[in-house]
Amino acid sequence: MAELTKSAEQVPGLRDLIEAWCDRRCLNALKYVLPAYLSFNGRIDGWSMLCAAVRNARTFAHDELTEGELETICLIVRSAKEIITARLRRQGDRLQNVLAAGWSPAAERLDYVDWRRLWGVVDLIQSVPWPSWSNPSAAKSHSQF
Amino acid sequence: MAQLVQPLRSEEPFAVLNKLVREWCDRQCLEALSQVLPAYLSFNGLPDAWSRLFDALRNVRSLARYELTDEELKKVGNLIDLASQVIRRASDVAFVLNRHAVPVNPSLDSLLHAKFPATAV
Repeated sequence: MAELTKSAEQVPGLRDLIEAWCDRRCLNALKYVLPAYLSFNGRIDGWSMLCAAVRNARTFAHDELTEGELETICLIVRSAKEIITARLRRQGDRLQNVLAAGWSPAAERLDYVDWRRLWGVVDLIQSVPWPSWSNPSAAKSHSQF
Repeated sequence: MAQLVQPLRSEEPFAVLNKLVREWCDRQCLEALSQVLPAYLSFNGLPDAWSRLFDALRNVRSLARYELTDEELKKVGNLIDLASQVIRRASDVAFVLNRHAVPVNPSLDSLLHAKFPATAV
């Protein structure tokens, strides 16, 4: 399995692809890949964006690419999919462990809630004159909206 | 009205932009290319395309300033001024056309060469 990387520089072959496209002025391919390359963060969303970007380049800038570059793109797509699947599976296992221990994911976060601040917000909301707080029938009619 | 309707040669700014893009490719100014390429490649001469180009060039000036030389910054600034003029002029012309109930979906060149009634504002 490919390792997790935080920088797109470490994605195998991608930097070489971009340099070659700059030299050959493959502007269409660059248009698709550069935003994902520059905003890559090593997480699932970054890998997902990168995967979609190189696939778009393969689809819409096919005429600008060589055979070798197409193979490199296939390699990048495959490794991105492996990494995304592994990360999702690991998150799923963690969630299953939490649930098996009798905790809900929401309960895990309860420790971090600042209850005083939260009840302050609730008081503030309830202080607003609104028919639903005092008059249930008005609330019923309002819920039609 | 006469000062509204002036022909604009779209090749001149695009020659500058072509040259800029080539130089950025040579120097691998990836941030600048990333900002400008979507608007540059989808440019069709209509006002919304000018607007996209305007936004893209402003992003280049603000986000990719570290990749540009002083001369390139100057050129980008000139292109931004030009794009803003074109957008403003197109909106003026669209306003006049709307007043006279002429269907508005023309290209920029036809907007700039349009003949208006003498009663125009």
